[in-house]
Amino acid sequence: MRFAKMEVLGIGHSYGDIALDNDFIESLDTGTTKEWILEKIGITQRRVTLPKEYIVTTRNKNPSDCLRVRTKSWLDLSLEACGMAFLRSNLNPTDLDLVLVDCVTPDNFFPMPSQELKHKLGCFNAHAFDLVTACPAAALHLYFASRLQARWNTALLLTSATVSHAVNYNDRTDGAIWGDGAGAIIVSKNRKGKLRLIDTTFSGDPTRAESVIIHRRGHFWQDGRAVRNFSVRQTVRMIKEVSSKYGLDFSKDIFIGHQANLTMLRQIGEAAGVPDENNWKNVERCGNQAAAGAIASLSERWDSLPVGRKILIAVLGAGLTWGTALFEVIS
Amino acid sequence: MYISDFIFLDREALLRHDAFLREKKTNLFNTLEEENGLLKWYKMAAYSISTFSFENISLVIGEVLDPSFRSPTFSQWLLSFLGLQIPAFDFITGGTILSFIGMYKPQFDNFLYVGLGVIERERHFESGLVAIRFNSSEGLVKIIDGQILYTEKILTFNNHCFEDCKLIYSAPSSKTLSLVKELSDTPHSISPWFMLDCPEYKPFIINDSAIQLLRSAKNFVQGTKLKVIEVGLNGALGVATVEIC
Repeated sequence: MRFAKMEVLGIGHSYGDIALDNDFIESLDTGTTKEWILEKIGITQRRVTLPKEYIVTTRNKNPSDCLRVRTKSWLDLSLEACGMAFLRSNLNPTDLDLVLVDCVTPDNFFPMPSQELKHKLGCFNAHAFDLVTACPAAALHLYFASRLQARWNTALLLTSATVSHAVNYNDRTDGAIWGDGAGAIIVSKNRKGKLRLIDTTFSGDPTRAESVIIHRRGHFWQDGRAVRNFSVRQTVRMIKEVSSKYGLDFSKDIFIGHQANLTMLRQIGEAAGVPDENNWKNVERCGNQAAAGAIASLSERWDSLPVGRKILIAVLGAGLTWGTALFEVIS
Repeated sequence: MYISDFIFLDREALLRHDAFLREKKTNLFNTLEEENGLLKWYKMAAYSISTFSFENISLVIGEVLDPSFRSPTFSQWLLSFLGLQIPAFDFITGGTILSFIGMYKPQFDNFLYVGLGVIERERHFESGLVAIRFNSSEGLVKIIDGQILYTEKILTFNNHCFEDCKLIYSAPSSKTLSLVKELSDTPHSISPWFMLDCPEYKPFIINDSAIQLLRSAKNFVQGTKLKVIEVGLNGALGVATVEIC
């Protein structure tokens, strides 16, 4: 199987504009406490796009109401993330010839989110498609693009989610976990970038698909304990497999996992031998931003990436699916 | 990339499976609230493709335009229902999968594409399911090339070389039919051009051109080249060049 060489030209991210701290979550009186959140989830703040008053008064009982009250849509966040990625890559939307989008919280399924984004950005030379698997979508996009042999040179890979719009804020756990965000990567086969893609993988086990469910217009639900146990085991397995194949040294190389839960990411780091300073995270400040989290975490450090080091993104989640992308910082 | 096998079920066939499934009392996801009436179609799709051989399939790609769930995806739901541990994700082309494959030449060895089109309220379309097995080494039909054009660029479409090719297309609207006819009258005319003679024909909501191609492939002699026009629901018009093997 041939694998196209790709370099990352620019990355961008965006978060929800409303910060919910643990005092706010505790005030919802769902049985959760600040201490419990810090111990079990490790999140101190989540960035959402729902007004606090709306959450307090309705608990988001009817997710369709979010369309009326939200401060930003998935598309607003996506445009912000893409703007940052274009700026960093010194490219314009018309330089793109391919756009891939994952959004599990679109306003409409038709027109497709990829078409909406393409239209808003003005990527008139690009073909746009939705490529969807929720949380591990960043790895899927890189995996998929690297296996398209013809007719594209520069692509935008966009992951965006406003999962807060699907949260039942009467649930003691879900309200504490979720944030909203978008992450954009611009990759190219013929332009020089800052990161070189060394390898990428994607796999899954759909027999466990019922572990994470987001209804079309309803609430998010997951079998939290099962997903967490799976996440720790599978992420450690992915880290070890890629480390073994490419000789990673986490005293200098970097790991970025699915930004679902800080204590889980620390547990993974300890089990896989990744010191905390090389286990890059944003979940404690932003909450779980689904597929956008890992890319946003990398984007936050874009201006100070350590040349010569390798960066492993190992993400997983809904589906259940998982995937990796291994980069080397080249400039 | 080759098409090595396929199944196609129209609305009537899918509904026969619905009756069977009611008898079978399948319980997966039954605890979930049915939100848009699509879940029964998911189940019918799963039952339909359960007769399909998954041997050597390493990947399943799903496409449905109006999914019941945001997560899991349609393809993941299908495999969950069938109890198959095959990686899966959804890829939404709007119904231009053959053109996409011809255009981008994806390097996946052996994968299954499952497209479900259900828009019951639209009287001009028919619901249906197509499952196509793609193979990198051999098959019934070889996909040679492809192109996808969006509405704003559709006028450049007539630069595509149609000479010595037959044409298969579907016409979900009179506008599309006019466009194809217009193209056939351009200097780069479609010659000879061909419209499938299907008296019972009613366009399917997605992949109808692929369905027409696969249903009629046996009618062509080996080596015949065809242009398959795919009208995407995303404002795209695709053309896939294929050869009968």
